[in-house]
Amino acid sequence: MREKGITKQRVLEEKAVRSFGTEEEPWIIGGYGQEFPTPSGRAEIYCEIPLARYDFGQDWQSEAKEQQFPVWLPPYENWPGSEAKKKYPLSYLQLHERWRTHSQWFGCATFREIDREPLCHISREDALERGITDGDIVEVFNDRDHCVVKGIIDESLPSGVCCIPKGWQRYQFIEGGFQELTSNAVDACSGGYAFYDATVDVKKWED
Amino acid sequence: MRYGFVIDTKRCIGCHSCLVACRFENNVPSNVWWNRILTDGGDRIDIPEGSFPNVSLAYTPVACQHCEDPACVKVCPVGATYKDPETGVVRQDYEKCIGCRMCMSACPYNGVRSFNWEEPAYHVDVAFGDAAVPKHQKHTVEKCTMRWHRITKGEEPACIKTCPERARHWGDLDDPDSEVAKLIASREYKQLLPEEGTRPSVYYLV
Repeated sequence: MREKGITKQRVLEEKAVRSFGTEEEPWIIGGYGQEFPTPSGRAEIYCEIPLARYDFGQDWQSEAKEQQFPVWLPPYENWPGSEAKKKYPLSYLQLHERWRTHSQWFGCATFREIDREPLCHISREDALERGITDGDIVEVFNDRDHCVVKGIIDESLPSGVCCIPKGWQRYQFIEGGFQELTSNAVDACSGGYAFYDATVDVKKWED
Repeated sequence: MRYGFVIDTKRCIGCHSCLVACRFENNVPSNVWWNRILTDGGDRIDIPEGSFPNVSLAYTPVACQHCEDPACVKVCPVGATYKDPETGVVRQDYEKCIGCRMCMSACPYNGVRSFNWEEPAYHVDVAFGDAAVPKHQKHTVEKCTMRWHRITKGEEPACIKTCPERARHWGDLDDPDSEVAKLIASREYKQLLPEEGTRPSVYYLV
């Protein structure tokens, strides 16, 4: 920090001190009060002709008309009243746990001594309803596919929510994998996926 | 002099960094941990106490308590488990240990001692950590050494150095000017199983 000229005194005086970027090459578009590369030179919330971020052959043109302003779109599945939610009542999340950085460290033998296997976390209320007790092997399923893991009761969950921490590989599951259940619905313009926009149900696994 | 630990449970986030630092510093064999992080209220890591939405999450790191009045020392028939008279550190001599495991059954803090039933095994082919660490041996009991090989040279234990939350403190509890002595003088604390009369040198700030 000191080598870069960042001292406590400077922070106190200037409130914010940047260690990277110059006036010629700002740290971000529009930095150092520079103009944005837009017709007006300012941030433009309205976009006359939105384009797809990635063109993979999808029909983005028809959606683009609706996206000249930033818009809020409801989740495809994980939303009250959706068809998917009626059929599969549990919101399906893929927690980020302390043991992995995304999928990194899934094979780290040291961590696997502590965090041994993928677990499906479910609320006490949902477990009770389904006759599941802590440590039972459960099947998590929806229309796309299923996976089989050990189920545990997680007091931090409200009823209606379940999760399988992310990053595990298929060989670590009894059957399937946690991504078997997520949706590949994508916003045609932004190309954004919402991994938590998925619903499932859970039942006790009887092999 | 009485070396001991002060662990601030208000700061501990259960990250397990202290376990990993301990394992690598001491080349601890596979499936052996000298230190563990217990999640308060249950057997499962990171599952909170209470019921939704009234839940709380807290951790208790547990390793050898380096007791002032250690139950393990009293039962060891060969003097392999002993208290260092100068520092108060409870030590384990692998050369003297006959593997009777009396210390493990006498110790009220389950799981802080472990017995190598087999030749110690490792996930990697090379030894990690400090070369001064005594070789792990089959049919001996082992546990937290308080990083004996370094504290005797004026350094602190690996678990202290690594703690990203500064939740772990170590020092001489008998020295009123030490950080640990000041912490227990100024904060409310608890000790594990005080009813056992072991007088642990590990204090948990609450």
